[in-house]
Amino acid sequence: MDEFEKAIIYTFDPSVSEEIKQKALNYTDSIKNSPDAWKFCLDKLASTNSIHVKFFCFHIFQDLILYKHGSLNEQDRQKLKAGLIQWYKQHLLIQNEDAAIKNKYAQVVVLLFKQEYPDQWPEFFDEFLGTLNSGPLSIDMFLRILKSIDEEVVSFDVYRSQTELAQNTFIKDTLRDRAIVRIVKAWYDILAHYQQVSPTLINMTLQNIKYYVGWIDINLIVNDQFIPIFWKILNSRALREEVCECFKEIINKGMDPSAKLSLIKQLQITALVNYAQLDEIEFVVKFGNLINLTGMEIIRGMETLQTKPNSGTGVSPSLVVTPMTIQEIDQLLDEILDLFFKFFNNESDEVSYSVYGFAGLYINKLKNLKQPLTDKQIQHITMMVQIVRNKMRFHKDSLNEKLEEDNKFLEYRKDLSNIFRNIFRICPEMVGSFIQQSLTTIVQQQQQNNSSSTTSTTTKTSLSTNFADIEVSIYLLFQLGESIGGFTGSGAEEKQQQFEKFFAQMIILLAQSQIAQTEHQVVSLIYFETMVRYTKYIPQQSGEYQQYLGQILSAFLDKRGIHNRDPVVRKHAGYNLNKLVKQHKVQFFPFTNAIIESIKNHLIISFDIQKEVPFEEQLNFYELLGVLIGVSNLPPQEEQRYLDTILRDAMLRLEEITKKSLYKSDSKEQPFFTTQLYQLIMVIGTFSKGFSAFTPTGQPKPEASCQYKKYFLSALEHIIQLPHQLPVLNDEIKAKTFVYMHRMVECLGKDLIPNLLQIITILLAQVEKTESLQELILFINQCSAKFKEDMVQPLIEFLQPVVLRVFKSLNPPQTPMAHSDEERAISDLKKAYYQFIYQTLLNNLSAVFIAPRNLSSTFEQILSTLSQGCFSQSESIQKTSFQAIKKMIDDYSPGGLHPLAGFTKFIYDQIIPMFFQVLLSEQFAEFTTNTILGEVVKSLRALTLKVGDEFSSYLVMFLPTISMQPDQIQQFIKLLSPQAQQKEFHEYLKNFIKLKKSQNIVLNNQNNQNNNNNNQINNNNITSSLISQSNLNGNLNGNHLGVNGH
Amino acid sequence: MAETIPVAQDFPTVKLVLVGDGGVGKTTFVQRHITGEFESRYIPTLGVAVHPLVFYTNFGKILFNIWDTAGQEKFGGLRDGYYIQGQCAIIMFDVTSRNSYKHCPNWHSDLTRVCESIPIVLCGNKVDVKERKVKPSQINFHRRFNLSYYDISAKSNYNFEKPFIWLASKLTGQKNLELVQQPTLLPPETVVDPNLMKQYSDQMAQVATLPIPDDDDDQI
Repeated sequence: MDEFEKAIIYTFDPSVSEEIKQKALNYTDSIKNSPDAWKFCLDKLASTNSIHVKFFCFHIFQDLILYKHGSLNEQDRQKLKAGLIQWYKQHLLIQNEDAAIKNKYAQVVVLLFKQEYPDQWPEFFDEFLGTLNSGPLSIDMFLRILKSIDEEVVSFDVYRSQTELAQNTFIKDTLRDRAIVRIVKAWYDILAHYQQVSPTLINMTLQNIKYYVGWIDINLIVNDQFIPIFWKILNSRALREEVCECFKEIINKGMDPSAKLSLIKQLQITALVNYAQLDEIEFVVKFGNLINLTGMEIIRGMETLQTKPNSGTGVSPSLVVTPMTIQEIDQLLDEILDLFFKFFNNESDEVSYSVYGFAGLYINKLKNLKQPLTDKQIQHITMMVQIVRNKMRFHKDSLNEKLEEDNKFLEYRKDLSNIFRNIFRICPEMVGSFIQQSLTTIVQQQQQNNSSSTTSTTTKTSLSTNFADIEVSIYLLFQLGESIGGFTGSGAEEKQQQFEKFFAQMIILLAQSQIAQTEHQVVSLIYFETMVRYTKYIPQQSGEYQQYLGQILSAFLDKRGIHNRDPVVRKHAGYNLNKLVKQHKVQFFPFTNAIIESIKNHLIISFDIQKEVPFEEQLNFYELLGVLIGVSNLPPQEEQRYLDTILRDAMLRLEEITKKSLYKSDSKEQPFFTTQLYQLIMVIGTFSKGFSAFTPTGQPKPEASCQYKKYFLSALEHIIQLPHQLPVLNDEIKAKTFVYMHRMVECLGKDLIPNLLQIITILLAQVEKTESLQELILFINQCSAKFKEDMVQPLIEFLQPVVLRVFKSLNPPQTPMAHSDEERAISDLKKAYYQFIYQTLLNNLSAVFIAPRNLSSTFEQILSTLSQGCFSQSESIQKTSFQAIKKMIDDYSPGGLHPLAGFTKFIYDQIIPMFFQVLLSEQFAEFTTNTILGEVVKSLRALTLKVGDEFSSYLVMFLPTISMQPDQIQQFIKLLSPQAQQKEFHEYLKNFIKLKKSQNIVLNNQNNQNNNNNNQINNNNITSSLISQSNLNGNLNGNHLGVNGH
Repeated sequence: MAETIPVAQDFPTVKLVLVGDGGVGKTTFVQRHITGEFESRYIPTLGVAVHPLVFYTNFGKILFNIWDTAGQEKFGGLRDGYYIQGQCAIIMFDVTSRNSYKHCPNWHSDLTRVCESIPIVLCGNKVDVKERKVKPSQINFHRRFNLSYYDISAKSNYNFEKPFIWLASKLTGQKNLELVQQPTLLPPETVVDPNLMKQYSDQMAQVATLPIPDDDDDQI
């Protein structure tokens, strides 16, 4: 081994020290960079034994061919080619190489082929075809080279440029013309002679055919030579899967539908399936895929022929078509359906799934039929419902989503549900009675079981209905609920009502049965979910309504449900109980005491209880109680009694922990009290979800019916102190405090306002993360939207601190890395900030910005950020900025809500020129400009409405500065007048901008460089003039929100 | 299918090649795992780092030597030379970058040229990010080549172990392979939204039932 080889091996070896590696790398780089490296490597390739050295050499050739081929002189070009061919003949044909090297060689030689074929290398295929008779090594290389041609020239899997694609097409066409017949002949010879000698070569040949069949003349393969050989190879275990793949690609080939159908007929897939030995799951799956594809192609072909009956008579490029009769096509479909049912019902889910696509397409075809189904078709879908039910049955009674196997089963079940629901849409009555029958059967069997089990225990197992049958029957009932809205056409409504009644009957049947008394987890889970889905269909006017609700509820409340021994069932029952109560609200009020009685133990916030019932589950119970009490409009005394019963413990505990500062004994490892604190906040906050200070139409409720407020207010007093009191370890507390505050906006209504200043001040002092600041802004926006004008006073007070805090976060000392989380958080905050400004204006709070305390500094800063926002790369920020400016024009102009002296002058001097600058900027795509254009039009119209004449005289002065001609100006002002249509003005301005931009492009082309510079200078001018000439006088210290922020 | 695994100690050691465009999070991903037993070797000049990762399965211990080819994406370096003798691979892309997904077939073709039929997993990283650009319904490339696919989030440890379990199961030929001990990971820096993840996997499942489009460029 010489120095060169050693150096290369070092560079590949991760265990070599850095210092040596660096030296080695310097050395190999110096060789790589020398112009004659490839000549040196041609020599090296012949002498080295190291795989790494060979790879190094191939990289040198690869780079030469890809990037420097054009600069080679004729002599060198010939030398390179000859060198590669020589190595092939003297090395690859003599001794067997590592597959990686053979493939790498194939790639490099094909890259050269791509550069030179056909003009500079017409004899490329002769080189390799000519050596084929020298034995397996040459055949092996030949097949690898063909595979590489597919990868480098044909395959669409790899991403390529347009130029490369064009070149590839040319090569492909030439190859089809000049070489393919000889290549196919070679394949045939290999298949015919090497079957016993080398299965590997046969496999590679079949792969070649698989890749090529899609783009070569199909008759070269589908003929009396190849097809019998394929059948023969089907008997070989090692090769049969690849034969299947070839058939698949043949059927997959793009051609017109008539030709495709004839091709399928000619291939005799049914006979092929019957001939093959289906003795191994993997192989059966391969055939399943083939049947699936064939079936789908038949249906697609039929559909195309129906919509475009003439497409079959077109000239087929490859097959001589004798159009098939409709009967023949139907027969083709029937044959494939027969095969399909066998595969679909196969015991193995993998096999069954392999034909799923066809099942879906066939059902879809039936669904779209205009005429009623034939008897045969009804027979088909009845069979399909049976199979779907079969395949959906569980094999065990509890599943673990972490297990790949269980997951796959669940996924497949979901897919089957799709088919089932579609069948229901086609044949609702059939499916309905199918389900009714299976539910009645399981209920009866269960009853018999229970009565017989009291007399004799031995018969229990034999009579016992299989849990899987029970589960799947309920599951199918559940699935129907999703399609119930899907009826269309006449009678859809009656059909829907009829099925709603059916659902109600079925769940009453279940609720009165002993089905829920099961120890099978999967049965319990689907039982509760189904109850929740269909309870709403029980008619309320029914005399037994309360009785039915009671029956349904009792399973949730006892040991079948939230007291179940199985924690999974218990959790599920609690979650669904919450859902049930939230859906029916006040209808469940009569059961409140029963519910409280059943869950009282589950409500206790203590770690002992939580070992049994985790905290997240406890929240369900608090939420549903809140809803029951909150929506029932109880007399104050009764309401208070309930609140006391439910919340007293939590309130006392909260008070105790905060007053006695118990949390001080917490440590990072054992945050005992801190954890309990945030749980208590969540308990009270979650319970409060049932309460609102507003009527459904958004009006405040009378005080008399809001006695509950004092509870939540007193909790608020404690909670808002917590971020202060627990300065460490309090991320969770802070997050929960936010949740609570959001709740209180709705729950306390205007009683929250006096507390707002304190709340905002504390939260603002405690936010550290950019995300929490964004949360705070959301909270303020929520208050503004709810309280409108009542927010003026508090907002005036905290506007400045909030805005300054936002600016601080938006300008971190170090620019965050691109695509980092920090950058994303900042960009989100920026969006939230612009939303905040706009929402404040939108909620009639424009007085806030111009209050004396904000006018001189904060307002200036806000205006400055809005101008920057208009140039933002972020579409949402840009749009929001324009919208905010429009709202300011409405409010601050003379005649607006809060006229502001000098505001219109500021608009004239700064804003209008900026509008046009943004519109004319090349920086924004046409789509973006259109959105902005709409906003600009709105602003200009608003100005006309407020200060029409003054604005017109301004425009007469201004418009010439953007090179508008006098007649254009006249038209501009005319169309802008309130009498004119806004649409017309929009159109006019749009055309003007378009024209102006196209002139700019001409200019740009003349002097691209210059113009760009000018644009930039203009840009600066606008922003700086906005700041310096601002008529509102003030000290702008420029907040760099970043013009290009996104 | 499975390659024979050379037994260096009493447990199998396999070379895993980790590829994908720059910036998709390959290095962050391998550094989530703290083995404690080994020190990872980082060779900054070449930008290849080999991280040994140990997993304990119900079929015994398995050591993955992960060749993280950071910084070697374009020119120079040793490119596919690193893949020599690779026994399995992960192709990673970033679900917030369409280009990184578009290039996966190129990575795949480079890998199979050198390593032929090794088991390969496709991983879409950064699913914790809200602005996901490559939607679950658009990820279909793996189905054409029988690769496995997982949504992952290196930052939140979401699905971290999944690709390794699948690879180990393929390499050992044991279908029921599972971990008997959870890998020790750095604490998550962010938390994924379980509902969102559920939604993603539902979408994936739906799409799996559709025929494979010939050319997905239009959708991406």
